[in-house]
Amino acid sequence: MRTTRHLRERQTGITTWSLIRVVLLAVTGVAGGCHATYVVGQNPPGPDAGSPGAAGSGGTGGRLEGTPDASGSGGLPAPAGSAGTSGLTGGGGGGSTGAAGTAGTYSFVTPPALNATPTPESAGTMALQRLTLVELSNTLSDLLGLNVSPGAVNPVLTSAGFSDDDASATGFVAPGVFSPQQTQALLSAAEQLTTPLGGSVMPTCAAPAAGVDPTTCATTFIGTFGRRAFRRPVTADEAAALLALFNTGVGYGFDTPGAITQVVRAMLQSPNFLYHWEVGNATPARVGGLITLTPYQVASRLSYLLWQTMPDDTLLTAADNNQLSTPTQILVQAQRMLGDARAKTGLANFHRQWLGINGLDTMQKDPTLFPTYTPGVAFDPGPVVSSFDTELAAFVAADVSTLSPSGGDGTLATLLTAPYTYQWNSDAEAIYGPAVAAPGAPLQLNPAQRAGVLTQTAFLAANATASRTDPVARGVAIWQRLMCGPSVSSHSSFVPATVDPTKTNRQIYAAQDSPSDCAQCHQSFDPLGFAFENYSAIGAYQTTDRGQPVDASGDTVTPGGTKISFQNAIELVNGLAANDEVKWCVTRQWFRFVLGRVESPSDEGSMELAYRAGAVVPGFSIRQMLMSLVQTQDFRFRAPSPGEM
Amino acid sequence: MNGRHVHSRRSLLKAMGLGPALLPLLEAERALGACGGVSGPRRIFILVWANGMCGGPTEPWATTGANFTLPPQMAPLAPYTQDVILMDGLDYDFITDMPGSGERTAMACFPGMLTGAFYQLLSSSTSSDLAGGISIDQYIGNGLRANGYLGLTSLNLGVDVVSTGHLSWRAAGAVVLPNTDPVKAFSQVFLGQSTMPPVDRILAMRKSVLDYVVGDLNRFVATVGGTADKANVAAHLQNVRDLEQRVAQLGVSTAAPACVPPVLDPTVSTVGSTNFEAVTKMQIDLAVAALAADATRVVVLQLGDQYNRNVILHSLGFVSGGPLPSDSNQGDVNSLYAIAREDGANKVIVDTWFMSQVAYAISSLQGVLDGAGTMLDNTALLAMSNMRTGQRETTGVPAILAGSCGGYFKTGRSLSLTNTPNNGVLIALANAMGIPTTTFGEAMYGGELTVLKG
Repeated sequence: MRTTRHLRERQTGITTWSLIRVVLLAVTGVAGGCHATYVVGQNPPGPDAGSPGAAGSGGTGGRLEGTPDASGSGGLPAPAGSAGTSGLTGGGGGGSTGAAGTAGTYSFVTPPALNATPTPESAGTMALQRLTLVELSNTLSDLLGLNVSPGAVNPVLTSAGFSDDDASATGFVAPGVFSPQQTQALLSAAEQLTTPLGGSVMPTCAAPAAGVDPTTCATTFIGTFGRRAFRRPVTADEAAALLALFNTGVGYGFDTPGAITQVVRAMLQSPNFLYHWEVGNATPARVGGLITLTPYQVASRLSYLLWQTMPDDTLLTAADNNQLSTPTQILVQAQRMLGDARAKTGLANFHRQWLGINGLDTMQKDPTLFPTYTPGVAFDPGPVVSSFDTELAAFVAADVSTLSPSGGDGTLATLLTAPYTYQWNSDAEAIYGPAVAAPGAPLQLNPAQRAGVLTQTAFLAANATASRTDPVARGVAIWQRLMCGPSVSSHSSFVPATVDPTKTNRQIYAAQDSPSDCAQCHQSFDPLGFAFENYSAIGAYQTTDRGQPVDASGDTVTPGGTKISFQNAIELVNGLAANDEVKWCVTRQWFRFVLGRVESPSDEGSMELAYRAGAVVPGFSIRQMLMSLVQTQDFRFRAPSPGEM
Repeated sequence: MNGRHVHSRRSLLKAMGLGPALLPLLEAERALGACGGVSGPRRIFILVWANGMCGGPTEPWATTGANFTLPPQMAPLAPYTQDVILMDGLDYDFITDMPGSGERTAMACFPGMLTGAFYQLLSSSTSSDLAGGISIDQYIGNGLRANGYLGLTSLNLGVDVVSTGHLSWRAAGAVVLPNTDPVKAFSQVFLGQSTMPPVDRILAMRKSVLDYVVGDLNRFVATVGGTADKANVAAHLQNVRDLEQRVAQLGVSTAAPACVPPVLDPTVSTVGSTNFEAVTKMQIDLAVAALAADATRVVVLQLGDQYNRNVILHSLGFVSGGPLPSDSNQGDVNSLYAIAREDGANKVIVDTWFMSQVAYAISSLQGVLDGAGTMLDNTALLAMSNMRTGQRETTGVPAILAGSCGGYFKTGRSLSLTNTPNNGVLIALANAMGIPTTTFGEAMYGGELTVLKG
């Protein structure tokens, strides 16, 4: 399904680009660099509006890179998605393959120039997606309330057979399609999660007052609970069917709470609960060729972006009152949400996925090498393991959210270079060295040793084995997720059969990755990982490795061709924080996260807008970028999907 | 899996040479086969009968090891060698070491077999002995309930129980009486819950829920425009439709029984031993159905009592022969008690019959689908007797464990044990069921018999 989706994107891309290119040629001729100047909203590309492109002579700036030659090999390759998208070839004709390289290659590598004319906004497609496992756990916990924490819900789902796709084109977790096993798993999970509800636990209709028709109670319940479960008001047809189900239950001999439980179970298995598609009976308006998202779709998009859970009542009410249709209205909600405690959960979840921080709850470390890491703790979330995750969540929230006014400034620079963290238990001291912080205040660290999230425990320890660092894992994470370098087809970890005890970790990896067919990929990201050899498998600072001094120096070349040289990780992260490609990559990653797919040319205009909002702030404000993102067309509209009228 | 398939009751009956007289209970078999589908919890099923599992001049126990040879009386277990652990050599130390036990012999073991504790009261009659601690079935059942399980703590069943020497104890001195009437027991298990409607309606309700979901999916697909999206919704819809077809075969959620219980013939009298065999089968059917429906996870079934003075197995051709000449108080000359005392050729015949009941229980557990396997995979069936042979040894007593209890036990072996108090097996059961303990009954008898884990 992913492949199909990306082929669709490719089609859209070709079409869009063909259109833009035609106008470009008409307006700018050969050496251009500026974009087409048609008015936003007019003639946005339809899905099949292919127009035969003339042989390309695209400009050298802006989106079109390089000078195309006959074979179309000019320009840098666009980022490759793992599902086989090879970027978007501007092709002659809107055919399904496009003419290879006749017009150069569309690429997102170069960040927008702040002083250039903005690309007009549009919107890309929005595929139907079900809630991911994390989203389901959070949502069920909030929906059912009753102190069912996400941590308690998750095992019910996973033991019943739920899972997400491991590798998605975006790098963020993606839900799969509903398999037969998952359909049955959902039934099982729905029954298990609602079993305690059968009695008097449900707050409504538990004990209808004497003389009150239970049907009245049920009708009210269906309306109020259903609006939350479906994330939009229940339609008349749905309400009638649910009431009929309630009455069937009563007819079978269930008491009122029991019959209500059946109604809840039905809702939990409904597509209206399971999919991000809060449309109901609405016929969304068309603007140009774009489809307006319903207010409830906007509400959901906001809450799953910032909180990874269902909308709260304030959001739903705003949708009820059509207070989510203008960018300003959306901004009001987004600002509120970024200051809500749930933002901490949402942001932590994004950053875990973004930076490849996985498996903290099952992480094991060699107790001989790391006696400060409590053995046995690795097997349950214990003080040290969960404290890595807690630290990450606290640090990220302090920077990006508006939860703590005395915290960070919302910038990428702070995220990547701040010489402090939030951690002050004895386990942290064992890793960071002795330090004291007042409660609520950040823990100041040695700025020669620590700068930002990449030098904190979670990223370092997760990207390491039980005993050794994993410079390839660390390097790949930075290369792909911070620099948006082309994704690499991964192979399983290469552990050398014998480890030469006289060689450092770096020397061993450098030797093993030096053959040319290894180096052609590894030369991009190994140096990035080597920069972090000062941090052990548990994230503690070290100046020696197997008796030899650590060499953390090196350099890297961004996909756009900028060289960054560094003596150590501190210099590297400072270089990254200052680099425009990285800032643009951060923007792209957030767009991928909210759109659930890799970016396409239709997203360009909105992405630029959000990027500019962040880039005008020194250090690049992630916060402002996000607040702009939610106001963009790409967030509020969608292009029709292939096959859609 | 080792190539086992679901045995139908019909085929088992046929194999045993029993015929259409028992056809009404075949409804039970079909119903049992309809349970399962979602992986179930672990269960225990303890099966006890008196007078030993071997004896007589030609009745050894099985050989030792992985490729063991079954003794003649265990021929009914031949299809299940991979599913069992045969144990030889448990010691009922509680009866030997108990202060003041005096002349207590194997005839007095019932109150200690599942408690492993010295008695609270050694009565003038062994029938009135009071156990000195909680029995393992109650211990496990309490633990499950404490962990949030909503079903019955245990289901205690019996066949023709006359003697008051009992197996199951809530606490020292607090007996749990077995229910010897399967029809009454059935109504307690399946219809006793006031908030739960009859089981077939639960199945129907589940189907109605899925009907609603199908309706929603049909409405939903119209709101989705893209070709690929519509296809995905259509696939989801088909999955739900398929699920609806299977819903009658699905296992239970942990609180709602979904399996149709067996039909039990209320005209079969449970008084006396006239219908001993038929009642035994009904009780086993009921036990398996209760486990499959997750109405309970702990069953104890005692076939007869610790004497069986008047139990005559008519199906095997035995008829009442009048009182024992040596002691008219000791029951009928063709009773199980007398046959055990005689310890001759007839002992082999009755021992074989008891083994065939174990085989029937195993086969019935196998007949219930459970997750990727059968309910047997998630069950520990423990068959025990109060002595080794009719000579009433209380040491070196054999026992049979069937089923791996969710992979906890390593089956397919025959073990020769020494210096092994029965407490070790009881602890193993508790640990397998996730209600861990390091000792049980008298602490001096040590911990778990870990060799059962392999």
